[in-house]
Amino acid sequence: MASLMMILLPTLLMVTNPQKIVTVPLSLSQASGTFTPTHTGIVERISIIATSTGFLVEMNVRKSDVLAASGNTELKSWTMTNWDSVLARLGEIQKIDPEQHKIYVRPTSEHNAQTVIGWLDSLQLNLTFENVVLEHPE
Amino acid sequence: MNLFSHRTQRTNGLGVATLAPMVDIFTILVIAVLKASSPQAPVVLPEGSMELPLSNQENISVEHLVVDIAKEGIYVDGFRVTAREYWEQSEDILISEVYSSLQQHAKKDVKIRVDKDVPWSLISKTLHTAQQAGYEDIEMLVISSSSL
Repeated sequence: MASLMMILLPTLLMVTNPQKIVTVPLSLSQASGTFTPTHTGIVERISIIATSTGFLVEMNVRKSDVLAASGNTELKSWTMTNWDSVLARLGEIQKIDPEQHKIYVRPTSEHNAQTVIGWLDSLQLNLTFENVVLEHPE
Repeated sequence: MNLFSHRTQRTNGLGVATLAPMVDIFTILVIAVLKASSPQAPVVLPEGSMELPLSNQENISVEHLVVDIAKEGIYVDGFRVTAREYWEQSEDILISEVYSSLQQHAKKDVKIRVDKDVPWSLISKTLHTAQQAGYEDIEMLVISSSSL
């Protein structure tokens, strides 16, 4: 059995590809599109806008009829200095409306691919925001 | 005669004692290798110095049409179409060379492979270009952080 394993393991190491390539689905905002809410919960829209000094988290909360397609909303925003505090704030927003799984993210021109992929990972895998819409940097 | 039987007994005892954990270790190693490796062919990147970003996602990719943004150039389906530096500094958000090349391929889904240090402004321009060329399903290819 051990001899078989001794043969199997190097063979596996030789024939398999050590780099596993996976895909990150990208959802992009329309360049000239208008915002149409598809979610009818209390939180109409959540967005993260990266700035040169940190992040701005914005949340549009419906003030009146939450079942209306597009309600009368109030904008709440928070300025954050690091990504961990953004995640903590988003966790609190999710408690208000657990059904809202869509979030808009706008990186700056200076952020690189690895940084943005890291954000997507934490939003999709840790906070269950299934639909992360990427916006073009200002 | 006594010496021979004594040796045989000691070898058997050691064999049994060491074989079980060894098989366990090998089994764990085989499982770890199988989990971390990929059944796909090795990735061939257009530039040797290009490094893909890492991700925790688990969706295995099926390669279709690939747009690469490497350290020096932008490639469509393995062919260089334009220089990276020019479009990084340009104000235009539509990369004309990539647009015309993507239109010639006339598909619906495209994969983007980028170097991990490429600024998001250029990636965003490329994504916008693909969108304008009629591509609906756009995904980014990255290396799984569970790779060996």
